[in-house]
Amino acid sequence: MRTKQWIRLDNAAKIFPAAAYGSDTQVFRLSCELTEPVNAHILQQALNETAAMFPVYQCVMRRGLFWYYLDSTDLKPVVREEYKPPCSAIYCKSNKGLLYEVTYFKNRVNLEMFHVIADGKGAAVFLTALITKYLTLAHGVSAPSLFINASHTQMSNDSFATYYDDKNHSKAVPRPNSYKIKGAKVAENRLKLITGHVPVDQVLRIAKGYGATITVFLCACLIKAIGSNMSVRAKRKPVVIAIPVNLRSFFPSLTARNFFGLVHVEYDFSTESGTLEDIIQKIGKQLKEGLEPERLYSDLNRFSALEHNVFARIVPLPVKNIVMRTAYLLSRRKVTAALSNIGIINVSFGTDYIRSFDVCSATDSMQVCVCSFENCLSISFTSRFISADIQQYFFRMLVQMGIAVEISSNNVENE
Amino acid sequence: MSQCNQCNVTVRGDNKVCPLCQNPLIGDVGEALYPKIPTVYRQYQLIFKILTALTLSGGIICVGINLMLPQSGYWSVFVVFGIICFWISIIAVIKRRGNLLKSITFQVVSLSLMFIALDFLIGWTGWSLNFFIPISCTVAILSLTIIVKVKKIPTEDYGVYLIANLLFCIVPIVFYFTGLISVVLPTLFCMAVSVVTCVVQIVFEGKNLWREIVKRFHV
Ligand SMILES: [Zn+2]
Repeated sequence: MRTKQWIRLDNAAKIFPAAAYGSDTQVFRLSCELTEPVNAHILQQALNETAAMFPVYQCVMRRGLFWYYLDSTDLKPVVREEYKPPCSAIYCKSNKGLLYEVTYFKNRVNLEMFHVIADGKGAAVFLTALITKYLTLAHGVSAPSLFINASHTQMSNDSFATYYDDKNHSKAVPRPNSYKIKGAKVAENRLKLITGHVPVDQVLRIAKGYGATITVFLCACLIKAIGSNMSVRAKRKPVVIAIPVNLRSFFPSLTARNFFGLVHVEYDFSTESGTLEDIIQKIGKQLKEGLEPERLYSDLNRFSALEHNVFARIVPLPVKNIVMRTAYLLSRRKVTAALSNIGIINVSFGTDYIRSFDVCSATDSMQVCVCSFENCLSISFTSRFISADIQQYFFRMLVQMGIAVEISSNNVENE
Repeated sequence: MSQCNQCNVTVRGDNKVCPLCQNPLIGDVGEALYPKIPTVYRQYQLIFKILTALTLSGGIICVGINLMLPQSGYWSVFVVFGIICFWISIIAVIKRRGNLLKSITFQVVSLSLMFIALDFLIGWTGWSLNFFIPISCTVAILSLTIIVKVKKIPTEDYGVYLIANLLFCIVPIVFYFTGLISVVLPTLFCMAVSVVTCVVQIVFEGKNLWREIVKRFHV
């Protein structure tokens, strides 16, 4: 019998178990809509084969005395028809199952993952592999055999630890409390999901017209939409958007686990003009500064410092959970919303059978997730609030710029 | 594909109103894009109302009768206790906190031990075995039955719940046969509830249970 392996949580993941609470389950969903109904039987077969290629995800989370850890398991993933609201909790203290789930509904395949095991980029590799497998099985064609450009050890590498340097970390810059979105919330910790599909070329053309990237352009639109719903009093506080950055594009890494950093951009409506041009210019500059390699590197080191601090390490887990949860809540007071762009999703085979890819994430207030496939840019809002005023302002703004918008929603208020 | 003329967007799915502005849409209503998953409360609104009415009135009636017949002892305390435990379990289900079977078993066992100890300390009269354990087992059986229904427990785990049901019924019976019990009525009541719930579950879920048994024990 082979001995079971276990691994530590990576540095970004350490906070997630403590932070998962209520609607903020730290679960994200990546889904792929096909042009034909999903066959559950074939999907299960494809999943079995794909799961075998990613042993790093075949694990359950357990509690040690000091830290959580991931224990490899022989549990097999089971495909189910979608049976719960998007981004519902996956990890449950007493029922230790796999930390990801594959479900389907009509034409759509959903991959939901607990953030502890992977970030959006890691999940995208898994989902595209699954979809490719599915399409080759469903259509009986022998596609070029699937090839993951990383060994199992490279995939399970903790890149935070790899790039940690204890001599190089700066003090965190204290930031002021930000504006928080308020309003009546959806019942039972559910999330309102509104997805907009827009043509990539149209958005790209307009963003270029402003001299901005798609991320900066969408982030500016989001800030403007949030600003439109703020009272004069509320405008005294800045709007702060957290933007996760994929560190793989800055530090060579093939990890399938977490490897991202956060850049915060802020905009103060009380002192600035509030025009889209101005917002794009200000946050474009902030994002550029945040993405400078030295800055990212010192952030990465600060992230890892906790794990390398002996005193922090020997605190028992239950106490650590309380401390980390408090720290997380305090940090959340400094963020209005988050915008996460996982970028272009590439599929090596079967693009004709795929309609779109979408991504969305659990949140305690509002989160925007963006990804693109071929010419379809998918922008998903998940929100705790019943009101869709911000989403409405955002998408109407795109429409007014001449972009064709197609909306879909989980219609949470009818449930 | 339908259209919202206020937002100038196309809307996919089975929406009748625009997700952004709630204005009515024009054009054909398509197929649903997401499954309808009713909230627990809305789905079981009637059950919840009936349960609230039953437990509340039951509790009040028991306390009332007990006050009128003070010589019969403080038995209504246990009824109220049972009702509180019952609702704790139900709320725990809805909040999805942990494994329910474990939580209920833990409640029953810890409370039973506590009350046996209490009974022993204030001079053994046997009320913990006569009343408390059969009543709490009955409550546990009822909670389990409702939970299995509300939570849509997959058939794989169904058997475990049935076995738990039987165990909760066997414990008072064991006490009965060891002659530790002087008042038989609560124990009989517990047995009756267990038998009825088991029969109901087998009648409604028998096919699935049988399939599960065949699967697990195939040669
Ligand atoms: Zn509308």
